[in-house]
Amino acid sequence: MLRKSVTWMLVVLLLLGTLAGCSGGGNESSAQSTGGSSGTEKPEDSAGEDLPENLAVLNTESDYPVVNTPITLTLMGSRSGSQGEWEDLKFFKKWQELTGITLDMDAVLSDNWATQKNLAFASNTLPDLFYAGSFSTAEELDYGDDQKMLLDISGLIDTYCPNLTAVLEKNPTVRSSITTPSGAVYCLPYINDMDRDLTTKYWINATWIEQLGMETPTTADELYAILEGFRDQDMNGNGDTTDEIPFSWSKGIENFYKTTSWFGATFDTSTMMGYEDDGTVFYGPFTDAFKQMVQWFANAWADGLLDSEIFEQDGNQLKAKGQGEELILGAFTSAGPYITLPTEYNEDYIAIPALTADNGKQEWFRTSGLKRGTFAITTGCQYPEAALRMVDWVYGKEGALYQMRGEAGVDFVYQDENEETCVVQWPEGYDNFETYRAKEITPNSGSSTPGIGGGTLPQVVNPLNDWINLQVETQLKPYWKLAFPDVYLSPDDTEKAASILADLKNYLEIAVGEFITGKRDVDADWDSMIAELESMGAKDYVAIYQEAYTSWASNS
Amino acid sequence: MITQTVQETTKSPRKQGRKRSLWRRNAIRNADLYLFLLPTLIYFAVFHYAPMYGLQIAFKDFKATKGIWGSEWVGFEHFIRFFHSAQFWDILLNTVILSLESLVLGFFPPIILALMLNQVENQKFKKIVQGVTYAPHFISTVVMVSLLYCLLSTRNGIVNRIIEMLGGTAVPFMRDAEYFRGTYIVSGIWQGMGFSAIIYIAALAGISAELHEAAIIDGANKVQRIWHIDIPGILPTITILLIMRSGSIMSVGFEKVFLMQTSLNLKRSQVISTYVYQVGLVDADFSFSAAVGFFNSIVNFIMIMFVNFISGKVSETSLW
Repeated sequence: MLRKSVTWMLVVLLLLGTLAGCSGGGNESSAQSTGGSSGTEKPEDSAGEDLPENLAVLNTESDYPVVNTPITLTLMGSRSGSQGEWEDLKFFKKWQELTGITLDMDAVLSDNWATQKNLAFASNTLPDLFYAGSFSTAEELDYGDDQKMLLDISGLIDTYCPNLTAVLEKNPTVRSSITTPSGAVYCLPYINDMDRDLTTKYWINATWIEQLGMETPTTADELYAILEGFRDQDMNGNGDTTDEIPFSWSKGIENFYKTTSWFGATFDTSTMMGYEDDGTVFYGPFTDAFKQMVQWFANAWADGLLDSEIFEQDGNQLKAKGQGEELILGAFTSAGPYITLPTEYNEDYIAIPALTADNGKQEWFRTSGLKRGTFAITTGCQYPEAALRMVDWVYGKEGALYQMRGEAGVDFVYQDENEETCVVQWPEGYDNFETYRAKEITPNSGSSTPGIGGGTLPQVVNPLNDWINLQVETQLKPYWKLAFPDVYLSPDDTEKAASILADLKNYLEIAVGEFITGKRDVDADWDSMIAELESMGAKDYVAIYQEAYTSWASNS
Repeated sequence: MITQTVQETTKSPRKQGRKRSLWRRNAIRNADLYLFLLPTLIYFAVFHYAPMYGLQIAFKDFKATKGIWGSEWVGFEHFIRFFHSAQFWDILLNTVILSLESLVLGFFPPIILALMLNQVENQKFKKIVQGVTYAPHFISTVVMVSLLYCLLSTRNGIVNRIIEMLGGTAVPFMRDAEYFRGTYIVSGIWQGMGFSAIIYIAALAGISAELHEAAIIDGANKVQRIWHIDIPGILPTITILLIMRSGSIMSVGFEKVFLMQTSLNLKRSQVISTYVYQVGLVDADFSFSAAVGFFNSIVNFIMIMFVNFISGKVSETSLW
């Protein structure tokens, strides 16, 4: 008996040991992240009276270094596996050297990021800064508004972030998108202002349009006539009039939804929400334009204008069609013509311009290019002003460029006197610039860093991309409308909206597919589809977004 | 061996008391041998039983900030939401029908293949056929589905070319909802048949040659020998495999269904696992998807108990 109970005790101990081992590991790593911040721990005892000290360390003579007395801040961030150790990255070295602020970094591998982040909050062992660690909007509200663990920096930005303030002034919608309904700002975003990344381009072969003796389309009807021409004529001149595919893309029901702009309604195709200028929001499928779009594609399907595999092929299959012996794709959508086709055809294709709809609207959707929740300061941080001045660097041209491409003259070389174009270069031992910059330069490759990207920085010389940029600037940008702003939903609403959306999305996708392929008749069955969507809670869904949008609009 | 001891114990219930103490003495004497069980037990405890504590989020309003233990209890709210979801019946039926059809249609081809291969006299030919039929098993699902897209393409897929050559019109196998199940099941049979046959071939090899010799002397032809010797010989194997398969009746493979999904076949191809993926990972509603997954497992559990019970009654072969 004694022996038996001893065995059992051993078993229990062993099991407990295993469990303790699991949780112990987690605590240890988060303890490390605060343990190192001796610089911030001391003043914590006498917090409150020390306000001058926060400001006393700042260098008021010039922009850099940010502080006169060296300080240390702890930083936690999400590091992707492709990146080198953060301590060794050029960007961090430069950043610390420039600002005079030492960073004690806890770079968590992105796979463990969610866990480690939650653990840090749950155990209240927070770093001073979160950098390149993604916060969802629900988390922002939870950690910020509710738990007061993230610092509201709305009052500090204008004073301590001149670069960011300039960016926000240029893009007024961004400021309201990072301001919560309560008026606070907890996280700073990454702002992608590279125009060609902000929208979806539908390409059409302009040479073929010319061959048909037609003009660049201005309405959906004209586009339809051109596609009919592609279908009937031997456009590629190989003697076969049937091998041309007038319109194609790789599967994705959103590719249909996005074209609703041609018919007079612009909305965001992931939430399906759009807004009118008078401040009301609408659910995309409830618009006349959406019905017209479906009808147009249903006709196109019946008339053989769409690729018969448009619902099932993936990107590689589309590319295989594009790279075949003959040029057969008349119109299609992808990031650029040269992505799908042999590069020599790149400039034969133009972006289908914003078409004028029956309701007189001529617009094309764009996304905000905003990635929220990339940088945050915690309420325990002793030097929020210094931290803001530090992060402001990446919102200016110099810092953003360094964060993106590294050092001028070493990692990239300017190609003109105005420093508008450059070429990147990388040392022996790396296959391409991307792997090099991830390993040696910057967390910008693979992590969501704060800062600005693309548009205002020197461009890497690439004639193929220049063509895409030109198309976007001339055909689409003048008619741009933000599809839907980045709004804040409360955590409860987020959940409710997600659950309604899951049903709506699924039902809509099936219904639209059936309408387009002629299994259901648009005229006869449309109202029953609308009724079904309403019964699934579409109206509650719209109400949630109406509230969020109104709150957003009042911030701007 | 195992079945024999089982029979012994059931035959003589009076002896059980003595057997028990004997077993205990044996266990103590052979403690070192039992120690070999430990790694397996630990493995199951750590990787299969311990994670089950996370199941509670199905009954909680899981907030990552509060952790699994700290989140609030909400009872059956997530289950009720799932049952009231507009898609509930579609998803459930899709899952059940797809699995049942794969089970029923996919179960017999390997047995037939094994019986046929068993009759092949030419060993070289037999080996080649076996190799060829089980090779597809090693193709990963992603590659497999890409293959399907190529072979079944309406534009230039070889299958549709053949159909057209024979005077038919191209069939949109991969696109339309009505072909989804057929394509899924037939390709599944093609991929899995050879590999599943291996276990039957092994069972057939275990049948004593004397039985066949005796049957030949009695003048039984090949069909009779298959019917009266081979099939009864592998029946226990068949039953056990059937029970195992029916336990996974609700768990159609996620990958393949997901990869084969298109907007048009969504009506038939949205199954529980793809729904859990969409809601849980894409829309980040962990509690809800845990509830849906848990519901799925419960149905699986009931199915396996039920089939095992029936099988135990009818054929005296059961898992325990």
